[in-house]
Amino acid sequence: MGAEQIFQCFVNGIMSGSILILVALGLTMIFGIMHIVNFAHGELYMLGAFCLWIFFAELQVPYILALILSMIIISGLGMVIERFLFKPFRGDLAPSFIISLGLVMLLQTGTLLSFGIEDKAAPTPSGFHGLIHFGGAVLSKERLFVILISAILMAGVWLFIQRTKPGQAMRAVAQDQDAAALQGISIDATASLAMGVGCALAAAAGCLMAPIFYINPYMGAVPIMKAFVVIILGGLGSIGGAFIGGFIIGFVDSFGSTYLSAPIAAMMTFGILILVLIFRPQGLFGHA
Amino acid sequence: MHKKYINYIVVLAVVALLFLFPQIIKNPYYIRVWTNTFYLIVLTVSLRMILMTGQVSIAHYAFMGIGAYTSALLVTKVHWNFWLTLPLSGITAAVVAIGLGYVTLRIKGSYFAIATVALGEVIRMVWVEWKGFFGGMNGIMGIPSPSPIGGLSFGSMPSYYYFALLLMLFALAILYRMDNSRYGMTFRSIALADNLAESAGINIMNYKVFAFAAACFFAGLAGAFYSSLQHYISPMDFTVFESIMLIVFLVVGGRGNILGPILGPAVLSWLPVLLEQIPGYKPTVLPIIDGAFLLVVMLFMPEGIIGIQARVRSSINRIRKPEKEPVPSEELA
Repeated sequence: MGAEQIFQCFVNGIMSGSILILVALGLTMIFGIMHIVNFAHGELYMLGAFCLWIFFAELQVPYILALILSMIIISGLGMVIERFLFKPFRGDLAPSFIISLGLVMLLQTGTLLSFGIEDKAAPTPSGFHGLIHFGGAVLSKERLFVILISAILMAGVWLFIQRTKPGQAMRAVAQDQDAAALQGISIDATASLAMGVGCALAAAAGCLMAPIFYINPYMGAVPIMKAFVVIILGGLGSIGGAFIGGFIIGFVDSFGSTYLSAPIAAMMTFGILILVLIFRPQGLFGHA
Repeated sequence: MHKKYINYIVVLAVVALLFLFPQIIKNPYYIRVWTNTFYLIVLTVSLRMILMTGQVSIAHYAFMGIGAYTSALLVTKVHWNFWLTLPLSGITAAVVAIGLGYVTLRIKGSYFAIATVALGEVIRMVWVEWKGFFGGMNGIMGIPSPSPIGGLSFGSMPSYYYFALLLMLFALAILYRMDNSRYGMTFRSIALADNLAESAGINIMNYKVFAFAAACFFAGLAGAFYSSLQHYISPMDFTVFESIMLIVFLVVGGRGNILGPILGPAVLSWLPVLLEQIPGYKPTVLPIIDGAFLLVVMLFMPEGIIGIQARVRSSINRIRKPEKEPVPSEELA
């Protein structure tokens, strides 16, 4: 107990924070560029996990390959959704919000009908079984694996947004759509790209969590709620804010549920959300 | 004849038919579907009142839950008469709404919608976590039927039917009056341009809280009714998903006038009854149909079912007088 437990909570906080960041990054990118609140983002996370289950658990494809395949498929699906359902409502908050609610129902129930209600389990990727003893603390390799892969993905996204032309285009569109269009940036292509990248990240988060938790059609509901808290905490549309917000909520979650109880931790999370909205509605790192 | 009188006659005829329905069609299943439709209409019409001020609340079922828990606790723990707890449930929900409204209604647009999701979940977690008082996840069981009143003794489905019908008519009468009063106009002005409304001397915060509390009052009444109908309530009855369904009703029906939130729940509650006639139909498909309904309505008829009438009229007008501009559709509520 004591220091070891605190360390363990810390590692768990980093893990759940990383997963939340992967989900929240897509959400905040989609909001920043298209001004759409995509409630169905959690369903793309869920579908990502189902893709992994099909490839990795059923077809015996190696884990990393299954992860990449799942990211590609879900990002394609996301682009199709963007083109046909979100594009007509770009910049229009209420209708696009309702569209995404309709999508939640379609995707959840569609998955339920195709795969059934029973929980599915994906095995642990080979080589990551077992525990590591670190000082007095016991850590599972599986969780360290999750942290490692999500760190790689997060670094990739950060570099993509900061250093590449399409990433700069995304930032430009998020800042000022008209000015960006005047510079010759295609808004349609940028929106499509943002949706694709965001959905790929959600799928990756789903794939990483799949071996740890069960896979079922309703698994997207909790991460999406928390991801909303994260992006509001960090500031809607702010990439940096999503990173900070993700770790804050991840730590509140892991320390809260260890030292208090899981419902109290959830209550604290939502309490933080309401407090931030009241006192700093633009988020910690957002602009008014 | 004047158009106004035709409307009155149609409304009276529909109400008369609804009163006669359990006498003509004795099928308890159909009576039950209507009963559910009635309290869903109360919820949807009152939710529209919040939407009129330009805010979307996804916590409406949580406020219904506050009403349901108030009534259920008073009836089971201190053995109050249900009819005393009914107005109290509405008032409790409204008081909580006033308190929370002054805090959360400072937030606008999608931020408010997301905040209400959180609000609804926090309210639900109070019920889950505070086991001694609210019964935790097990909820409250054995809620008795209301005591007999005015010739209705609550042993059978038709008595609940009439209770729900009267509750709905009461809610509709008041909310319709509000819709067509200064209040309705003020709510719309806040939705259209809140800073303009403010500079015209309207205290927008008070009006927003008033709309929110009034809507939650009716949600509380519906909650008390629900607890007596089900004889059992738990935190799982008042989830975000249920609140989202109300938004589906509202969007499918249409937001332009009060007819939309009446038609939305009616159509979507009777749709499964019709679908059951199809051989091989499974009830698990229903959310797909609801979701598809929502997408189709948003993409192709953003004014909802009530928009059809205006659209048909405008196309008829266009055929008659092709040079004239089409009739503008209803303004948004």
